[in-house]
Amino acid sequence: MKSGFQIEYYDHGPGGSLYTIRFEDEENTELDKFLSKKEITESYDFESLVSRVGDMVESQGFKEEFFKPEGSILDSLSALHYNNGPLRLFCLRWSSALLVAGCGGIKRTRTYQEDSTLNAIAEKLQIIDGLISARQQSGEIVIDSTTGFLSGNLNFTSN
Amino acid sequence: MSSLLKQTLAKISPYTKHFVRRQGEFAIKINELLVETGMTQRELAGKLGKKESYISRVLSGWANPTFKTITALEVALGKEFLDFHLELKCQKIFGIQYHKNPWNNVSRNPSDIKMPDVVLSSEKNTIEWTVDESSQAA
Repeated sequence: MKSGFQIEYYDHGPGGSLYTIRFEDEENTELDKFLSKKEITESYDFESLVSRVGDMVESQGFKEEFFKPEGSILDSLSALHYNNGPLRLFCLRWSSALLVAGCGGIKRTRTYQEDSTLNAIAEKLQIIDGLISARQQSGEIVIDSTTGFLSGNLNFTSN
Repeated sequence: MSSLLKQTLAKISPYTKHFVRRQGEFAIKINELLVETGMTQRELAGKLGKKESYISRVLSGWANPTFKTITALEVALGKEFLDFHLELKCQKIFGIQYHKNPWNNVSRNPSDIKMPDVVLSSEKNTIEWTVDESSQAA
């Protein structure tokens, strides 16, 4: 991946910890981009989807059943949607206590892979997932299994 | 400063927030009961006469089941999960408040109900009730 990024703390609650990604030299985090893009905020399922994010942090946890597994069985790429509606928020669902939210958009194609924007978001997340995983295995990043808090080196510099 | 997520949540209508929260709680409850009973999604769908995909939607937290379907789920899973918190009305008898079944309370420990000793006296064709204070002191 060409640009560096950091895993940034966003929020936490009894349900778990929410992180997002901020790419090098970008003003907004990936989650904030999702929450502010006009096309997304005007989608009919936007408020329900965002309410669900709030509930998961506040009490319900990032339950596996709430997400649509994407990517491969080897990564934690998942998509949050409202009742299979067009809006997708791509995330790395590490556990019921830890979610790294990326960005997303409106899916107008049969699969997200056929949409270049959504596919690019998903592919970047898959790469990030691998990098986090590698640091977790080496002990550079530690995940608290109860709270979902991340500690350690959350900065990833560009190649 | 409040995050953009919190700012966005603050603008969402209370109805939407409550509805989505209840959908999520419903999903979690059904999932817990499936685990508790050892029932599979397929078995539950069969008991309800619905497709397995419907149960999957319920568990995903996006279903909007009818009251009939909720009742059917309760029967199928053997547990009530919609609690309306109804309570039997309280009754006051002789100033004492009873809950649930007042007659049990009355009959269970009649000796606990202290009744004053009364002495009848009559004067000038009137009947007056007085309390025997000596028995009260005991």
